[in-house]
Amino acid sequence: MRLNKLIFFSLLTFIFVGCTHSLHVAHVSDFSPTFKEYSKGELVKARAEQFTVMGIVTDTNYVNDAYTKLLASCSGGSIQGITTQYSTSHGFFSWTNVIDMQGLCIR
Amino acid sequence: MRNILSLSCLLLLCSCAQLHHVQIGEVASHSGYVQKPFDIKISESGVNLGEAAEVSKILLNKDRQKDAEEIVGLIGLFQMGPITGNPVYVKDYAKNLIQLIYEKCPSGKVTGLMSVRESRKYPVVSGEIVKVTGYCLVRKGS
Amino acid sequence: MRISILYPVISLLLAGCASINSVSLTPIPPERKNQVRTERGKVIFLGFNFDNDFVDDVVEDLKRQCPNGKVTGLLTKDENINYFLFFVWKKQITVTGYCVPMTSVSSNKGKPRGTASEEGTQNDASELQ
Repeated sequence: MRLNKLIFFSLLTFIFVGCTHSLHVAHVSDFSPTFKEYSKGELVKARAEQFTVMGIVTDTNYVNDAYTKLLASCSGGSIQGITTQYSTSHGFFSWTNVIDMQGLCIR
Repeated sequence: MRNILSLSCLLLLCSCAQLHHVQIGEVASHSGYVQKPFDIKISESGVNLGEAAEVSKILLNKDRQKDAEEIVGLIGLFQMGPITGNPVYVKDYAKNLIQLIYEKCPSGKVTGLMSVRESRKYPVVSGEIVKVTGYCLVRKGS
Repeated sequence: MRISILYPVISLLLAGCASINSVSLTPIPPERKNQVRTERGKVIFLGFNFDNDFVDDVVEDLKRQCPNGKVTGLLTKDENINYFLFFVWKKQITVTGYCVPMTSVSSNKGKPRGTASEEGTQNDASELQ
């Protein structure tokens, strides 16, 4: 009986323990004014993270960092169809906020 | 058996849709083009451990109920942070959004995009959904 | 000893905890010379908030900064900053983007450029062809 209990709860813990994530926002920008095909551009990506213990952080500059990285990855070109995703990866009394930006760079 | 049956009925019947965010972009129209609607739905399973503990009260005896609650509490310590809907176990499940849009509209002449982040909630589990609807501008007669 | 404990506690209370509510980004133009930026905020005590009018003049402010062009590449950040053990918080909207002048748009019609809002639809349509 005791062994059964142990197996049951080990299984339960095994199933549910793991890194969880939460997607808060997923936004897709316009494709105008360029309206180009996928093959006519280059997929550019930018990602920035912010680790926090119990949410104690005084700024949200990581968002601007992702934006700056995206701009730098397509200098002299325009970027269409930008997907912006804001999510959180959960942890032990801490979590990581993540901003992910992707778009098609048209030069 | 009766408990399992009632739980199954509950799962099938109870579903709540919860809207988290909606954003709409430019809508362009042109006389030479027709607007062909498309929609993309990406979904991932979310789990609510608190509700799982509640449900376990129906299925388990008193000793196990207590143990289940303790386990849920312990797991909860490792899964702290802000949530929208229920947490999911898959990271970046909506990362291929741009490719999916191009699959629906290879020309890239996309307009009227609406991005929706919503949850379809059932007891314990949920569908964490990213929905994108829009129009592909297709040249008249093609 | 007390002071050494008190300082971190006070600074923690005053500093505030920042968190994002939503982020969005619009298409980025190739010309990125004229950056425009606006920021609006509102302090809320104990959750008593009866309107969100502080957001309303964001667009007007951007228009003022870019009178003869199109504002694009807009990064819109909606964030909360919590102070004093979450009794007081600030809602803040920060918008950053680029002003693409009309002159550069009209002289490069065939190229993938931003346009003024009114003419944008026409130009976008010509871009489609």
